[in-house]
Formats: sequence, structure tokens, C-alpha cells
Amino acid sequence: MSVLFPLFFAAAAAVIAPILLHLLRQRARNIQPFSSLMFLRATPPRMQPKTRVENLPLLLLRCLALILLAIAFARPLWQGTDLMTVGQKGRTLILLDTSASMSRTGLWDQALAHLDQAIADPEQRVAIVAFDRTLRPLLNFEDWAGQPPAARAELARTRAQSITPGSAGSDIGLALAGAADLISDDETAAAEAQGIKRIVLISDLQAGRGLDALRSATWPKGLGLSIRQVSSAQPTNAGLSLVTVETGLMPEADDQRPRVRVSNDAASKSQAFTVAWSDGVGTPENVSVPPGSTRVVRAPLRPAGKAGSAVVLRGDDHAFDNTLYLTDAAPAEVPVLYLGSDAVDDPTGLAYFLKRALQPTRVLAPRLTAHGLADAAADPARFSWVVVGGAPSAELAQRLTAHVSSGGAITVVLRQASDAAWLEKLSGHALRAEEARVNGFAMIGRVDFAHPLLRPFEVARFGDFTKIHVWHHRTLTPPPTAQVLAWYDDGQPAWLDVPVGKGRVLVLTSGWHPADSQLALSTKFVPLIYTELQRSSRITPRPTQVIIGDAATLPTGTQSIVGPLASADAANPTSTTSQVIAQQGLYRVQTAEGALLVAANVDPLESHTAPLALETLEALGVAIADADAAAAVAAAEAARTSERKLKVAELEARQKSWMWILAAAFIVLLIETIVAGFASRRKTETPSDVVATDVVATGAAS
Amino acid sequence: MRATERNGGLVDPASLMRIASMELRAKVVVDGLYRGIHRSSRHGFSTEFTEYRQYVDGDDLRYLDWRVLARSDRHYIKKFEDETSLRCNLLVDHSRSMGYGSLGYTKADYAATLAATLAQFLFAQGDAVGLVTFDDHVDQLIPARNRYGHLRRIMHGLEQQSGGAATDLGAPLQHIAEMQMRRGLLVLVSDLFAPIDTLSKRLSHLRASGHDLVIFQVFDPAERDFTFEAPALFEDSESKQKLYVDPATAREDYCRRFRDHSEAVRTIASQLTVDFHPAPTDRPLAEALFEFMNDRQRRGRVIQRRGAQR
Repeated sequence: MSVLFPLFFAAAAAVIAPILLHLLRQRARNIQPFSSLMFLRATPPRMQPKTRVENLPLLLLRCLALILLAIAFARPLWQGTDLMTVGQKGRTLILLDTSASMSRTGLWDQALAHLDQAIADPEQRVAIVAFDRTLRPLLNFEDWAGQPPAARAELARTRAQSITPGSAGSDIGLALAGAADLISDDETAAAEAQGIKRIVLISDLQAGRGLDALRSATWPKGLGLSIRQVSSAQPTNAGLSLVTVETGLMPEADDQRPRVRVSNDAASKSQAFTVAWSDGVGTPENVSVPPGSTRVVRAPLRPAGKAGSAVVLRGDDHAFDNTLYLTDAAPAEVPVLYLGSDAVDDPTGLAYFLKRALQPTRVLAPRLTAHGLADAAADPARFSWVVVGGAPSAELAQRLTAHVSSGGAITVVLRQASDAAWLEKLSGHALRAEEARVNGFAMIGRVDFAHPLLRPFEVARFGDFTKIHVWHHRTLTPPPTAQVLAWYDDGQPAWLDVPVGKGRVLVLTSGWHPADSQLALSTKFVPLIYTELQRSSRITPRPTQVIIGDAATLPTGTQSIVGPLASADAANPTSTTSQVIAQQGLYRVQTAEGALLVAANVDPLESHTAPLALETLEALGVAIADADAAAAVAAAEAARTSERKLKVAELEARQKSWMWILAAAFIVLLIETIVAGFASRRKTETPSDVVATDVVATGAAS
Repeated sequence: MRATERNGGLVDPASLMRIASMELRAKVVVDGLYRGIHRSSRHGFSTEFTEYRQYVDGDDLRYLDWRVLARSDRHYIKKFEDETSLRCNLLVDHSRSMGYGSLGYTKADYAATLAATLAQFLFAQGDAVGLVTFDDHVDQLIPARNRYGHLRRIMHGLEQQSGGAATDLGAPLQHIAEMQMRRGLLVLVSDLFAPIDTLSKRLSHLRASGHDLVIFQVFDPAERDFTFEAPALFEDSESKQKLYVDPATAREDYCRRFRDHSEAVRTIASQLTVDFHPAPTDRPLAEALFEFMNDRQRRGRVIQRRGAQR
């Protein structure tokens, strides 16, 4: 049995009143008018001895009536077992931040303490999910429910202690959206009906990737977010990140001193830092960065030929983002062969412009070798890309054919219609070529931007080829296997891609030399040559910097990752092969196109350790239960209590036992009235009447 | 009627109070008194001779004692105690405490009847009679006169119910003292339920302003003897304050304090040479009137003696 309003039981204390009244000697109820109280003093009423309670049955009846009334107002109810479980179950999903910023001193201990608090109630359903850039379930609802209640907290603790914060960035938005989905998935029909659900976020609330993921998600109704923020007593934090250089540009003398960005957190107290190489080579650079701002500096100068593997930052409180690993990005050398009758210094020829277009960049270092069309010394197999300007000798043509068939790439420029003859042999298809009749000049009218060669020009700003005037070009019936990339405005193909064996041949029906066209003078020329150079040499700019936890920054086609390596030249890795990069360092990544050395670093966004403003969370519709832990527990308790109260009230309303008790109280009162009536009738004369008549008599007598 | 028997033919108050008319009550008492004494109404106290003095120019020749002149050839003026008839003001307490009575009539009834009796008696003597009723302030004021119909006016004033509030004897007595009434006799009829200090101060004030004063203290026998038995909430008729009193324990203390108060008043009265007459409401009125007359006569002699000594 329980009661709806236990406070009304206090009213039962009122039984003291009749007991006291019965113990008191009956006071004269009548009032005696008197001229003046001038000569009177109050006399205290005398108590009857305790043993002489007057009218015991009346007293008992009155007490009983009062107690019954108190019980009726307290609204008692007889409840079934189902009521005992009401509101006790709730679902709590604990989101544990394991991003790099959580590895600051003391934060993880705080987080574990918060976790202990959150799992204190074994009756709720609990799941624990660790997150940084991704979600990693540590303990799901079924695991928790599968354990006996006494062992649940211990299991959760063990699971949480098995992990430590990593080096990845954090994405609170993604974590919250994922957690909301997880907790909603747990809602079975039975569980839906009862209990509160909440997400407990244990984090330093470092903004990281922000809350973009939440913007597209709808926060479920009735789901509360309790935030348990951990914070460090040392606010100063600065981070290092690499300033990415434009790989397509020409290398500079300072490239040995990489540019690093030092960003100081807004909450920092200090602004003087030092940037140095991890191995101590060179003079450390002092840098002053005011809180909340960033500054780009160059790493200290190193002796030539001794590349460093990491830059470190000194002067802040937290070390997790102070090391920046670098890979030595020496440009790849690409040998290019030109076969043609013109000399490299002949401004009317093809080689002259090719030589000038093939300038070295930070990634590629092309080396052009020019040979005559009948030069026996030319060996196409040693070159990544071969450009043929004319018809080579039969021997050379044979070598070229072998080269292409085995997977090489050559570019053929038809300077005359007769040059197509050797091309017929090369492609194995009949090609009919003629000198086109051009009225004034021809233009490139249609371009297939889907082709890899022309994709850089896809953007409308760069896609206008009509400014290139073509004075002379050849018409060519394209072989059926060929892919035409561009057409002149008279409908004739301008550029064709012809696959031969494993390789391919790019055919230009007009040269870039001034006699044929203005192509060499146009802005399209160098990108075109470089794209073809990269295609032919199969060298594409590869990422050398990987952000830990961000799979998108890994080189495409990654097969395995070996590392972290002790140094760039280390042959034997200290770590085993894996699929993901979990900590900072240098890694050798095996891709389909060969091995690649990458440097894995902490997400630069992780350096901004200032906590997220809760208002932004609220603006996204997240129902924040509170920011304070104690208040959160209280709020949850209050919700549970009110729910229980509702259920109890409902049950009580069905039983309506108070009506019976009230009726009983009335019956008791009725009996009391009757008994009291009898008692008063027995006293035929009240004492006060006697006194009044006495006074009159005495007065008359005196 | 035990009271009637004991008082030797005097009408007992309980019977008297059954007479509705105040005038008739007074008549009954006064007439009963006259049955025993034979004194001319023309020779009231006021006509008491006090002294002779030498005639000076301007004196009214009417008061010249011709006999003395004839005998000794000297001009003497015959001086009376009061040159006119007696001027008497009846001060009747109408406060609420006077509304108490355990005998079927209240102290106020008794006081009014007493005052009416005195008025009737004095008026019949040819004296001027006035009436002042008061509770915590002066309520009615009928100046002293002796003319046709005035007695009726006084009787009517006495028939007014006592509906006053608290007794504050101090304030009205002070007021009366300050009213600059012509000197005369003041008869105060009250229960005197006021602090002794106040009473002493006010009465001496009245006395100092030259008035002759007679006090009748009216009280109920129940007030004197506290003849209650059952404990009750005693309610003050004036302040409506209630006090739980068990008479069994409180009686002795009450009676002592009441006695002390009466004694204190008596002492003050004797100090101020004021006539003090306790008037319990069960005492026949004629007795009170008789006492009053005796006192007046004695007082008259005192004055005469004082005059003769001079």
C-alpha cells in the first residue's frame, strides 16, 4: 500500500488536540459578565490527573475520526507490482570524447570520474560510445542488460579504461547525430513506453569539426543532452600545422624551410613560442602569436641535404599538437623524349616551345631530350613521355610501336598529311589524312571536357579555346577505337586519343608551332602539356600530409599502411601493418601505384581548445538538460518522480479508496455525536447554571 | 422581604426598583423619610446663619439686623452661609461598569434612584438642583435651577440608560472642576472603580475649587463578597477583556483588594473633609438619604462653629 499525498499523514497529529482537551479540566464555557476586572487576577486552569481521562469512548471516537480523515486526505492506494518499476528504467548513452585534445593533462581522469557518475544507476539501460572523428561503440545496451545489475558498472568501467584518447580530431556534431540514432534504435515498443532517454556527453567541448553534421539531422523529441564538461586548469595551447604549398609552382630556394602555421588558442595566457626541428638542428625560431590569432613562420634553416622529419613547437602547456611531421617532398624527375627535325633553339619548331613549357615544379622535374627522326640513339623505352613531330625512320617507328604496345605513351603531331602513314602502321587502322582547306583560320569549336586531358579546363572560365587561331591543320578519318577530344569548327577532329596495345597515342592534327597555330602562345598550352606529362609519366600529386582520423586525406587506393617509421629512411617499421593511422608519425603507404611516404599529424582544428558555446547546440534544436552535473541528475530524478506520480494518481483515481475511508469517518463522527448527546443529557445541570443561581441567592441574602 | 423587615419600615431597594417612574420612586423615599422628621421646608441648610459683620456703605439694607440696631444702635449685617439657597449638582456615573447587577437591578438603577431621591428632597427644600451624568466624558449637563418643571427634567435625565463606555473618572471630574460652576454642593454617585491615584488627584482638585463634596460609592454585594462558585471567563463590562478565574482560588485575593480600595477611598475622603457613604445596592435608599441629611446638618454646625470662633 502506498499513498498519494503522504504529507497529509501529518494531519493525523491533530489527535493530540482532543486528547489534550479531554485531559484538561472542563473549562466553563459560559462567560460571566462582571463590572470590572480591576481586582481580579487570572488563575491558571487546572489539569485533571492523567489517569482520569474524561469520557474515554468519546475520546477514542474523536481520535479515530481524525485519523480516518487524515488517511482519506492522504489518498491511499493498493498498487500492483508493475508500479514499482515505473520510471526506474531509462536509457543513457554515454558519449566519451577520445579526441587528441582530451589527452591534455588531467582531462581523461576527469572524464572517467564523470563516467562513473553516469553509470551509477544499474537500473537504467546504458551504452558507451567513444568518439573522435568517428563513433566507436565500447559497450552497447544489450551487453549492459546482459550483465547482472551488480556487475554492470564494473564492466562499463573496464571497457572505458581499456581506451585512451588518441590523436584524431573531434566531430561533436557527428557524434551527437550518431548517438541520437543509436539511442533511437534501442527503442523497442516496451521500452518506448517508459523511462527517460538522454545522452551524456563527456567531453572538453573542443569545437573540432563543429556541428555541421547536426544541421542536417533532426534532434529526436524527448531526448535530453547532459553535458559533463572536463576542463584543464592550464589554458595556454598552441598548435602547429603545415602551410600547404602550391605543387604546380616552380620550386623556390626556401623550400627547404617549410612554412608552418602557429595558431594560439583564444584562451591562452602566453604568446611567446619557439619553433624548432625535433632533432635540434638549426637555430630555433622565436615567434610571438597573440591569443586567438595565427602566424605563419618558416622552420629554422638546416644544412643542405639534411632534411628534417618533424618540427616542434615549445612554450605552451599541452604537447598533443606540438609536433608536425613532414616528408621530404623532392620533385620526381620525368624524362621526356622529343623526336623531330627541328632543333630545341629553333623558335619556329615544336621543340623550342616544348622545352619552355616543361619547367620544373615542386613535384615534377621534367628533363627534355631531343633527337632527330632517324636518330638511332633514341630509345623511347627509357622515357616516360615521347613527343613525335613528324614521321620517324622505320627503325625508330618500330621501337615506338613496341614502346606503346608495352604501355608507353606518345604524342604524335601531324605536321604534314604524309605523317599519317607511319601512324597507320602504329595503330593498325587505315587512316586517310589530307591537308585541310582553311579559310583564314580555323578554331577549336567543340571540346570533350570529360577526357582526363581536358578536365582541368572544365570550368567555364578556363574552357574557352576559341581564341586559339589555327592557320593550318590536317583532316583525319579517325580509327574506330579512337576517342576524339576536340573538333575544329569545320567539324574535323583536332585531337584524338588512340589506344594501341597497353599504351595510347595522342594525335594532334595541327602543331603548336607558329606556322600551324597560336596554341603555343595561348594560356592553354602549358596546362595541356603538363597534364599530358602527368598522364604519361603516371605521376600525380600525392598527399604527403595525412590528418589522423580523416580517411579522406589518405592517398587514394591505399592498400596497407606501415608505420610509424623511426625516420624517413627506416626500412624496418617499428609498428605493424594496419589499415588506419592512429598516431602521429611517418608512414609508408602502399597504393596500387606504388609506395608513398606520408606524415600523419593531428587535425589543426584540434588545437583550438576553447570550448564550444552551448548556445550553438541549443540553436540546432538540441535539448540540453543542463550544463551542471548535479542539476542534471536532479532534473532526471524530478522527471522520473513526476512520471511516477502521474501513474500513482491514475491508479488511485481508479481505486477511489478515499471515498470509503471518508464515509467511515462520517459514520464515526455520527456515532460520536450520538454518544456525546447521551453524555450531555446525563448531566442535567451544568456547573455554570448552578453558579449563576448561587450568586443571585447570595446577593439577595446579603 | 427580609430587607424590609430589617430596615424597620423603610422600603427595600428591590421593591422600589419595580416602580418604573423615577419621580415616583424618589417621592416614595422622601415621603417615607418625612414621616419621621418635622422640619420646615423653608429652613433649608442654605438659610443657616453664619456671622455678623459691620455695615459698610453700599450694603443692601434688607440684610441689616434691625433688632441689633435697636438694641445697640450699631449697624450690623446678618450674614448667612449662602446668600441664596443651596446649589447642588448631582454627578452620576453612567459608565458601563455601572450596568452590572446581581440582584435583578443594576448599580446604575440604584445610583439613579439615589440621585433622584436627593434631587426630590433638595428641590422640595427650595434648593437649586443640577445634574451631570458622565462616563468617560461628560454626557448630560443640566444646570442647577429651582424652578417649575426643572425637577422633571432632572428625573428625565436620570432615566436615561447608562450606555457609556469605560469609566475614566479622572477625565470627567477634571472637566467638572474646570467648568467654573458656582460653588455649591457636589454629590458624586459612582462605583469609584478607578485607580486610587487618579481618584485622589481629581477629588482634591474638585475640593480645591471650593466645592463641598459628598460621595456615594455604589457597589453590588457580589462585587464586595465575590460570591461566585464555578470557574468562568469573567468579562470586563468596559474593556470586554476576558479573564479565566476560578473563584475558589481567587476570592480571597479579590475581597482583600476590594476592601483595600474602599479603605483607600475612605482615607482620601477624610483627608479632604469629604463625606463618604458606601452604598451597596441592597441597602434601603432612605438610609442613604438619612445619612446624607445627618452629615449635612453636622457639616452645617461645623461651619457655624468655625464662624463663631472667628
